[in-house]
Amino acid sequence: MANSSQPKTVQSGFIAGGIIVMIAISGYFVGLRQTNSAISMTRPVEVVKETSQRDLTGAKDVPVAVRYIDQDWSANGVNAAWRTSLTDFQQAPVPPPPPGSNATPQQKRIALKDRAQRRAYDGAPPVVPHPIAQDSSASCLACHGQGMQVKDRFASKISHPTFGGSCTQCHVSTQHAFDAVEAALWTPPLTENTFRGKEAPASGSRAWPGAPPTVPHSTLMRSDCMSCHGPSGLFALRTPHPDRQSCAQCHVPSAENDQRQFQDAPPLDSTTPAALLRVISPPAPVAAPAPPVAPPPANPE
Amino acid sequence: MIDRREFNKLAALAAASAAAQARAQQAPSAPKSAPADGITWDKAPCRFCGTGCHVRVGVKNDRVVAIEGDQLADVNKGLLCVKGYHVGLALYGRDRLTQPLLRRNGRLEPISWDEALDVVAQRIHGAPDKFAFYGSGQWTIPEGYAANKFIKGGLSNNHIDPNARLCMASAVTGFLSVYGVDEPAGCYDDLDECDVLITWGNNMAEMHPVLFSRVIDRRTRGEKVTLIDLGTRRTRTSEFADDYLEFRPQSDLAIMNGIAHLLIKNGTYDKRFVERFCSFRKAPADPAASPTAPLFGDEMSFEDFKAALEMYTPEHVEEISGVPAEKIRMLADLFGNKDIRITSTWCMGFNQHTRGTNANRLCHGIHLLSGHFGKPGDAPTSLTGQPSACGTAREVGTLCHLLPGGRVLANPEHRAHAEEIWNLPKDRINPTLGYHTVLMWEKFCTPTDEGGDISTLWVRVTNPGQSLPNLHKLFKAKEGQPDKFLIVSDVYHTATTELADLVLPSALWVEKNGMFGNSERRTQQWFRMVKPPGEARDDCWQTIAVARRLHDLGHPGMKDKNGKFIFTFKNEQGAEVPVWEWERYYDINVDKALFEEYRLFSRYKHKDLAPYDEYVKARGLRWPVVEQPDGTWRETKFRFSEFDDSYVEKGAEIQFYHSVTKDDKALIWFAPYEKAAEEPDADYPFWLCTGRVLEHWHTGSMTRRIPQLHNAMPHAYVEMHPEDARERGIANGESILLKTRRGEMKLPVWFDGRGHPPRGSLFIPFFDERLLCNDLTLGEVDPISKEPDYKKCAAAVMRTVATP
Repeated sequence: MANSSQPKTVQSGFIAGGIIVMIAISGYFVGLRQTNSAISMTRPVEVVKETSQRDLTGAKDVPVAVRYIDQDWSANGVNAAWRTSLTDFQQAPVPPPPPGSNATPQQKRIALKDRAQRRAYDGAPPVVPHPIAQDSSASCLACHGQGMQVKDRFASKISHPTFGGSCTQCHVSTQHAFDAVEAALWTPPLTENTFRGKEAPASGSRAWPGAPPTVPHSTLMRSDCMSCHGPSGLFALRTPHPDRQSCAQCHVPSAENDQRQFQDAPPLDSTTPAALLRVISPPAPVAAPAPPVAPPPANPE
Repeated sequence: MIDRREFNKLAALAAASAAAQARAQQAPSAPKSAPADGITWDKAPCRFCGTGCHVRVGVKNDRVVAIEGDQLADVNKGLLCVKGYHVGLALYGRDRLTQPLLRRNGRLEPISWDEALDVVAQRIHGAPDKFAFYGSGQWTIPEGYAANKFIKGGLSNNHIDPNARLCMASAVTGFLSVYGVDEPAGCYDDLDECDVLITWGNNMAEMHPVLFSRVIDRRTRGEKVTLIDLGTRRTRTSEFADDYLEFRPQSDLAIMNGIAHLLIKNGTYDKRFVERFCSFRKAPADPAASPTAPLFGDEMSFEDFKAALEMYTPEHVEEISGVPAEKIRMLADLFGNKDIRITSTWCMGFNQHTRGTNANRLCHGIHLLSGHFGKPGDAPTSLTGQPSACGTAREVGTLCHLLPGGRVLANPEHRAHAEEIWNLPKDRINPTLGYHTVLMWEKFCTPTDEGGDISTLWVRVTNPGQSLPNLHKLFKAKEGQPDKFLIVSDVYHTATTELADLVLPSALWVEKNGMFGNSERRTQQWFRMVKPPGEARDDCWQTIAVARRLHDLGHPGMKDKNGKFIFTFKNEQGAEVPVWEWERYYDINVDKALFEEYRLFSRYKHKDLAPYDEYVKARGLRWPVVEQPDGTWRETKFRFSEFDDSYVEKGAEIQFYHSVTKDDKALIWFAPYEKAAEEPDADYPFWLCTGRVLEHWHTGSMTRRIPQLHNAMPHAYVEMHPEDARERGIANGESILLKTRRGEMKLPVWFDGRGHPPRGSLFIPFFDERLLCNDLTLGEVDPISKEPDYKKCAAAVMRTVATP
């Protein structure tokens, strides 16, 4: 008898337990959302709107901006991966690019010029046009992790997420920390520098007018195409077809730009015997065999 | 059967590889590919720090136009830091020195190279024994080798010492006294393998950022690596650390003794490893007692060692260092855990220390005692600040007591060997040691009639007018002494050229052929890619041209025992090439000729170098590079470990084959905690530490001319704890007066900025030549390595405006 009632107890126990676990899980996520909504960086505009309509004198319930120091940067710690993906749900979606944003050559030139202003040469890490926390990189990814729009300013998405640690290793701010003495102490560089850097390539090559262009630049440190060509990129550089996700399917980078010419690979220069050039360069006479691809340089062990 | 197409393909392939081979051996290099955009790319190690990243240099119309991280490079795998990405701009400051300048009536006036060389040659010829070279860890290997041969083999004078004395001499004496041979056993691969990285007073995030990323990017990939930062100031590195342990300056000695104490007390040291591979030594009470004793020490039994550590209980260490006893236990437990791999890195924190040699020894000691040695990821590794401190200063031996390849002047056999390779008459090399850096400058700045017996000093590739400690005494005192003559070869005007009597314009980085050796024993090579501006010329040529003038003046030392000029080079046809004529200098590859000669020195300490052409093909190779039966050359990643080092006997597992005690054992040293040379007191209540920042490389003569770097860090400052500032009513950004017993300086305070010193502690970066922090620092040196302590002295701060 006791035996027959036991499964029932166990069953209801399971159900009760299940409910508790579910409540716990959803409570946990709700809790996370609440914690994070306090530090959400996506809606600073709303805060301004709310307060601007009130008389602030003597008001006790004015929302206080959270200081960087008080924010929970553990999202950039060991659990960064899953914390980031959860908080993604709350990110205000960056507005989609205007349909068919096929920029004019003029617009594109302006965009490239804008881009060049923050770089010593094409390929140099851009400098940071705003002040930064001097002692830590933790706050960089709050805006640049996924990219976001704040009013008319765009924070570009990180283009090389695998190098996500020490942002300040390569990106230095042009805005220094203490403004008061800055004006008195700042001096121009010791002398003018006469370096003239490599310019950004204008465009990739197309086999015919409708063909997908090749990638004209190195993809080193630019593995996430959407950083520049996505909705948070400069207007004229955005893709006209953001619905397509697999960029490299149609747009191929150059082996030379990407340093994929291995040590022992046959050279692509003029000293290459004509016979070999025929094999690898169009127009090939017939379906020629693929060029001999050298293996990556063997580790000298 | 091979069909015709297949045959054609094979023939083409053979021809192509032959062409590639031929191209690799010619010099200077030809473009690697026919460029579509007019830009040709070639490889070079970065000009700046000792990490030794490889960059690809884009050149168009004889000018550098772009830099990329080299993906084929093991060191950096395509990544650089902000200095590396902007290294090409270092060539193009508008005020590059483009002609020789001689000081006449107090002003530097242009003269011709011919006149300049005559001036130098006559100064040296007049008093060859009063001439000294002050060299650099930025000298390329052939440059350092030529200078070393010129002064030791030619002038029979040993007054040559590099600025590396100021940055890594204590690391050298540490390695020598522990393993009997210089330079780390491990390499950067340890950073990919370690479970725990301990940074000892080492702000890697700013000073070796590429290596730092190599570790922390592992976290991005989901690996777990624990980072423990021990420091006297909170830095960007601390921000990434799992544990930041702040210790009182100088107490690192006590912390390491505390760890050793617990390893023995808890029985967690590696008994087997210690019995098989180690013996014990203690530092002699008086290091000055005998010239050899400081390195060899006094014998000590394990029981004595244990007894000496008895007092370093965690509680006592906490008292000395301020690091909680439980954290000392945590560190000891980590070292006591044999299932994890621990890598330690350090740089100036240990080295610029009045007990720097001992700090190095103790760190090697806790790794050896715990057996965390010799496996990938288990390594005590010192990092260097200059691109060729290892390659040129340490390996070529441009120090006042060394000969190339780890030989010492004091040893008659070593001198005889060098004389043999250089084909010199017997006893040409002088056995008397030269002056080390601090002594050299002291002798140069002391009036001749008061015993200042250095009268002509030639500074190469460095800026001592900013980087020497206690500048008033060691540099500025030169002023107003007409019989002292300062020659400076450099690319820009610096704090040093201000007092120079003759300034020689030099070629910089890819304006010349060169070779560097980085922190992990990796020797690297590059070719000249652009021409130097104006009349700037290679440093190596400058040395050879002066040597030739001396030869023509009849200096007997400039001839070998067959009467031939000591820098005689032949072309492929066997004809001698007068490379001392600038127009003929690039008729052959002088770097290659010098390197092939230098290579003969490298076998004695098993630091075997491969032929020059192997380095042309590689992105650097780590020595010993050992020739294999099939004629290929194999580099060594893990020295002294049987699985990788071909000089370790089969079955030995670990073999310290250059052991001090000649029994293949390494030495675990005991050294006590001792107070710093100058500690805060009532009059000077603050610790003052100096150091570097990410954006600027050393004295900033290159990086302060790069707008992106300058704008990010335009001037020096003093970091202070906000509470200390508040107590004195000092506002953030306010200029204060900073005083030490050596001097005073006005500069702005920055708190809550880049770094966070604890209360009672200050920090100044040393890059800014307008704010020379070495007017303040102490000239006290480590008694063994003679390296000064830039990290600790006592200072006072004062407001410059009245408190309202």
